Amino acid sequence: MTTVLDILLRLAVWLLLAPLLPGVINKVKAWIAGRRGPPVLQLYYDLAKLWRKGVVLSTAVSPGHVAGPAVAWVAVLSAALLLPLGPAGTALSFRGDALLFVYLLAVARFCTSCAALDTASAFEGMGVAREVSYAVLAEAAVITALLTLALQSNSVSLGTMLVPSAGAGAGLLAAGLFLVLLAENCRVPFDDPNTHLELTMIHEVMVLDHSGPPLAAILHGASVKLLLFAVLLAETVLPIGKLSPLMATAALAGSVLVVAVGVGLVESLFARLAFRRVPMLLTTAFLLSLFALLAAWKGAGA
Amino acid sequence: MNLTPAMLLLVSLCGYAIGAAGGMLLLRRERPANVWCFGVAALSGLSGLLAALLMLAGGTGTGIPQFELFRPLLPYIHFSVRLDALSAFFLLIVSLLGLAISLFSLGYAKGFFGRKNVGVLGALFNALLLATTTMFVAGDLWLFLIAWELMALTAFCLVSFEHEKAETRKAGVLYFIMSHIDAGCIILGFLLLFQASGDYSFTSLHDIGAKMSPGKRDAAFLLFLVGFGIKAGIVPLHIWLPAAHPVAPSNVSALMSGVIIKTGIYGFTRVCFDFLGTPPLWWGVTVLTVGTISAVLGVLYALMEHDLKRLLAYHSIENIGIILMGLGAALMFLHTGHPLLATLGLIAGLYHTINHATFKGLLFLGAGAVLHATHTRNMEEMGGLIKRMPQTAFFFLVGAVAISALPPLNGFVSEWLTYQALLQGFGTTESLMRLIFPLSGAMLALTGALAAACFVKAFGITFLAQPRSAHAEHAHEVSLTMRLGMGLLAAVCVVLGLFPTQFVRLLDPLTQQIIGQQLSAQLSLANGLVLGSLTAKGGTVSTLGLASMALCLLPIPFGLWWVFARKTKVRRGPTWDCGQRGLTPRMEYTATGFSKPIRMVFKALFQPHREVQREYDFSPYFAKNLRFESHVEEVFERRIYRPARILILRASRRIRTLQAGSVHAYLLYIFVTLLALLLFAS
Repeated sequence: MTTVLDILLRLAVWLLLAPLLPGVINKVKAWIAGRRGPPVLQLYYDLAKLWRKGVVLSTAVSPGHVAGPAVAWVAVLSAALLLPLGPAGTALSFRGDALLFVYLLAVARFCTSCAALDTASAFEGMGVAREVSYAVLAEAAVITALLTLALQSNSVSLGTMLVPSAGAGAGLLAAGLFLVLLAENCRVPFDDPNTHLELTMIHEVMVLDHSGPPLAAILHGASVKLLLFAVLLAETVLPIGKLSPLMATAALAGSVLVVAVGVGLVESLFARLAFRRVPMLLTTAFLLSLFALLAAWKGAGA
Repeated sequence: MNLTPAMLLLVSLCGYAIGAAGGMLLLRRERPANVWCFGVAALSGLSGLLAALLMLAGGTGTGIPQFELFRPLLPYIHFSVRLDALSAFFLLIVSLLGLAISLFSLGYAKGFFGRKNVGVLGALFNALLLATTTMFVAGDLWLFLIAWELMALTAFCLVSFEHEKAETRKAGVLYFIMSHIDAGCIILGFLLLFQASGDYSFTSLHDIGAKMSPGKRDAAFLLFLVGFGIKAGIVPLHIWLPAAHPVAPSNVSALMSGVIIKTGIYGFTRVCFDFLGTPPLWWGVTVLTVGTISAVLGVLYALMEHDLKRLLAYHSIENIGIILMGLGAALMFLHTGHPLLATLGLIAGLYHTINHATFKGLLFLGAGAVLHATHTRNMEEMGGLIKRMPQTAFFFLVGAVAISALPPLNGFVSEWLTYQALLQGFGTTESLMRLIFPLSGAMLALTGALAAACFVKAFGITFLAQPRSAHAEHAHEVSLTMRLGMGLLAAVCVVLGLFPTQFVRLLDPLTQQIIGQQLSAQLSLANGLVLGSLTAKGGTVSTLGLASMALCLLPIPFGLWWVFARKTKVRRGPTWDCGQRGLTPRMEYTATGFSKPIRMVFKALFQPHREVQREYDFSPYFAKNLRFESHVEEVFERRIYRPARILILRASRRIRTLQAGSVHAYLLYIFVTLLALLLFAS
């Protein structure tokens, strides 16, 4: 009984808190630009509206089309359940597996990509091509970062590898993971969530022909993914396991907020990159993780 | 009556032989030939499957069935058949694929009626299965080499089946040449082993490496690596694979990619783990490096393809690389004296072997169904097939998810095990291993992500969106037997994904025989529901648990939809077209366009050739005609094989002057050779 309650509670935390993050980012951007900006809870209003709306399906799509967003939503949520939540650890005392975590995110990407290609639109095809190409480098960077943590902590379960701080390579890992966070969540400088020109979009263009509840599932899943990467980044750097439960919760919440503010700052201060330069930045993230791996290797070998 | 594995195996072998003979007798009657050949092959496959399962499920207690073929006929030569656990595992693969592909062929071969001789196809198909099965269960060098050669020849005939096309003839000849280079290497390697043992039987060759000098042992290892490597298609010896697999009839492609390239893995495992003894460190390092390079390059070249079958062929190279990563890790652990970890690596490699056989067989059958329905292999002419052939699309999707290593299907399980094997290397003291393992792990990550990208493309461009040509528009669902063949393999993909601990138990007799360890008890946690890795700190994963959790979560979004929006209507409208009125299929994204970002990222490797020609009257901005050409050529073709070919041709032109056509000159050659030999011998 307690395990079921535990899982339900975690689900609630992830589902209810996630839409807050894009609100925070938008508020930061508005403040820097000297605007008042949309309310922090804007995404909640949008989701509430979308869940109640009707659906317009393209005439080109196949019967399984709506399964794409639904499965993607489930996959992201399953990945979230694998992450330890600060002092509460992982669900079911399951030693959440680091590789399963990354591959679940790949499942989500596979589903949204197929759903986008299903609409027979050139825009969406282009968006998918970019999304999967950048994801290749981003995923390699994430797994390398996780391998570094594995080397450091001599364990491949998320429950134990995220407990201590990242040690020698912490700075490198944080920088690499922050870049991956920006890329995976389609933020500036990889993608601009505010653009209104289809040719320059990645994430936004993939959801052009989604509407109503399926679009709500996609937007909600995207916000969970953002929170997920923020938590991963925070737990990689902070020695969460060494703090008292209250301190750990505060530290986790604080650092997730810091990450959100950081994303907002990056979005305000940098322009997006030209498409041909994006791979270089992602390769940089991969190399940062590789350097962290070398640091961990040297550190552990000595 | 008690069914023994030996009897079932004999039934299977005889079945293939009868099937082949029947095909030759029914040359002029295509319908009976079709039913006879592929029906008999399916039954023989079923019999072999039962034999293998009985053998593996029996555990370590069962003895090793052994018998001799043609005993009364050949008094001096012994052709012994020996079904030990390793043979049984590969017998399982060939029989499973044989069964599924034969079912598929019953429908697929109808496409050749009136065009090609189905009797010949069926006879060769049975002969290929017979040769491959015999090779897997051969108990001595003679039978092994004869079956190996027979397999290469029948495969050559099948690759060249549609020999009226120039492309096919070229690929066939290339395959012929490469398979003879590999046979040459293997024969040389076995001669070195024979020198030490003095006996042909495999039992006498066990651990023979201990009796050999290190130099000869290393030479034998290298010869086997090249020989079996050509068969398996490792980079840079893979050159024949993307040429030969696509041009063969699709059922044969499925058999070749699913089983025939695995004969290289079988030979390599047999030789390295059974014959050559404790390996030096550099063997494992070489195998791991070769595997890593094959994996990354295979998938990168696959992404550049828009020929569906060539794309799948390149993926075979990638997956052989992943298998070799597991085997290489196992060799290194054997060197450092960690038999348990070596067993983990071996299990990872072999698990991926059977997984690749199932999903690649499935994908090639899917490609065959698409080819059957659209008469084209070019993805740029496909699209929208999911509405015209929904079941084929579903099976192809299962295969695509499995090969992309996405949970919870089987590809994920074996890649996960490979990661675990690599990660365990962190704990060893050897500094080189501590570095090379994480690096290969990072490359495996890159490979996995690239494979997923490639199969988004393969599935999305082929089956989704609108048809890009009339071929695709008039496609139709394929016949029941073809769907049955694909469905069987798809079901196996799901079962191997959801029940890994139960499958690992089947590998116990194998690892016990080869390394002397059994791992299934340690790998299965929580009553077999969770797959663990060896140490307490290693990862654990439960695909079954994940699948059930996903099934619990999946109703949530649909429930929300039902709760909030059930009163609203689902309307249909055109895809967003910027208000331009009317998107046509010509405007859809193409397979070539899809891979452009990756082509740009790895520009240094691909060196894409790109040519644009414009015809215009007065200003280049108003072009009348535009011709665009772009292709990627393999770096090995350009840098290694083409110069080598030119060199060989030039040398043979020189040598040709020796063959002057005069008997006197030939007598002189014989005399000189004899003289030289006598001098050499004295």
